[in-house]
Amino acid sequence: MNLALELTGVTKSYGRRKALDGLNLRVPAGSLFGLVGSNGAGKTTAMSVVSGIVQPDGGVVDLLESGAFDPVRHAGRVTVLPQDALLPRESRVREILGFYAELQGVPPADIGPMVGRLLQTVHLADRADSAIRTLSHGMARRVTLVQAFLGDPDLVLLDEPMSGLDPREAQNARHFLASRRAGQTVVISSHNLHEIERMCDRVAVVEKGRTLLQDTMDGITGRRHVIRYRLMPASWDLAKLEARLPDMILERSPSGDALECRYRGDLATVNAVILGFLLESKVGVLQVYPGDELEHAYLNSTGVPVQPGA
Amino acid sequence: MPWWKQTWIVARHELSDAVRSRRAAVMMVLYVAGAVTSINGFINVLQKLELQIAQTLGVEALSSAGAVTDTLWKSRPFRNMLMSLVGDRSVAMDLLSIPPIALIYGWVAFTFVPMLVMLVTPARVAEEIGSGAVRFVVPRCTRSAWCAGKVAGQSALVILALILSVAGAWTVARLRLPGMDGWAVAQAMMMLAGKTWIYAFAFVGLAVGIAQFHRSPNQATALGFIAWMVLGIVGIMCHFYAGPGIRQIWLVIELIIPQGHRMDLWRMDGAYLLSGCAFLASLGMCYAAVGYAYFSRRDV
Repeated sequence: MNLALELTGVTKSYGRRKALDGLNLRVPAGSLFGLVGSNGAGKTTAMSVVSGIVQPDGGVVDLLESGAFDPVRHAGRVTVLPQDALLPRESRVREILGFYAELQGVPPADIGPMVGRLLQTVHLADRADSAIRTLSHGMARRVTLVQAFLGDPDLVLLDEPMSGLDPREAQNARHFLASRRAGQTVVISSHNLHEIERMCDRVAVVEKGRTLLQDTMDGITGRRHVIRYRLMPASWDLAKLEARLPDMILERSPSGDALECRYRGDLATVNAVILGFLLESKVGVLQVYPGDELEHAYLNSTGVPVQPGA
Repeated sequence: MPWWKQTWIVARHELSDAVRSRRAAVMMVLYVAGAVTSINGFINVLQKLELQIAQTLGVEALSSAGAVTDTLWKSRPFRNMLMSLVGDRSVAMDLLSIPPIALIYGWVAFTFVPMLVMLVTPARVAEEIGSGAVRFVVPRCTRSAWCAGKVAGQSALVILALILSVAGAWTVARLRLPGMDGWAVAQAMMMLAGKTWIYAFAFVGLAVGIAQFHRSPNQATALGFIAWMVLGIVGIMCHFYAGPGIRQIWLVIELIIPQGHRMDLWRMDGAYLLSGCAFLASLGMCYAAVGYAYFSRRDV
């Protein structure tokens, strides 16, 4: 497996506080990789270390199989959307993007069309000549998102890319990011687990500067061995269903509005049995989805118990 | 991409961005206004002086100022007085070769250029670090290229301020003194503006050096201002305390502050001029390099 990014035992402290405490990450090339964790877990520091914004205290960082970040070696190949960074207020949108593109080595003739195309993608083509200070927070955030994709870099690091975007623009950004799949490696750090679940094919859970979990999204959420149902609250007999599925582990929420089945074998067969039983028992089925929600997997990995249906 | 090209791109962007910033625009306007007002004030004083002399002599006053000054400037008693004031015959002779109006411009330009630099440059650089804007640049170019680009861009901003101030001062002089040798004054002003720029370069380096330690524009500006004042005081102490023996230390200190090389720029002697320029350029780079030594390793 080609790795776009590999962190081994990376440490970083701010005074006495350990932001990264031996962080390990393996990001395959061409993946949409989600980095999740609570506030202060070390996600932003990890992104900053990878992009050379912050110097690590120890450990090994390997980008694109060519060593730690080096602005000469990696210029134009690695870009970052930092979480709280602001663009220069007096610059114009087209100008600042042109500046970044030129600095990372995009040929001058390509800069104009590339900037125009990317601005169109985030619905900002009509604000290309506006000063940054005249843009709303969400608009400025979209410009920062665009700068990370200038020159089609091999590795893009996005720290909370959707923060400040309205629902329409967030959806648009999700589609845009999904369209980069396979062409580029995109690492997305976010608190929004639903967002990560929808977009990413691999995910790592980071807590207290360490990696708790790291796998494919299917692997982490158990999509291949768990099926979950959201039900209309009703009273029904779980023992009867267990009798029909003797080798499976079934769990029902106390209020009866959720059912979880850990299965082996063919999902379609198991689903057919469960749905058949629920319909016979006149239980309304609201939603069926494979696997745990990422949120549950995350909470479980951090030691927080999750109730079925929670 | 070669280092110099990265530096060039950063410098170009810095200049275009800085001229649009309110702070830089206001400071440049004030600087130009200061030069223009000083020239205008000098001409007013000349006119009053000449009117007074004409009244005393009982002759008809000239409508335009400057004729008496020109005569005075060329008279032997005035030259002798200037030599004793400056304390150095060669410097006095060099000063006398400059048209008086240009000399006034040069004095104003030299005196206020460090203030212009300290009120603009540290804030620009520190603001970029503090707002996080530098995080968009650091993954794209070396930190040394960014630092050098900031020095170059801010130095270019000073050139712009000096060109505008020369244009303003010359225009006022031309309008108020119709008999003035316009070409000679323009040449002298441009030459002095060039020397002012060399002098300012050391302060730009100092300002960029200081700003790299900070994230707050106001803090960086305050410290830049304090540094300028401290250097000024040290310069005065060097002037008065330098002497033989242990007091030679003041001569060494004088070498590492911009004020210590200011007089060299007023001379026409190429050797002094060259050494002054070389020292000031080196000082500017060294000051910036001290800041860079910290910035190159700091988390931004």
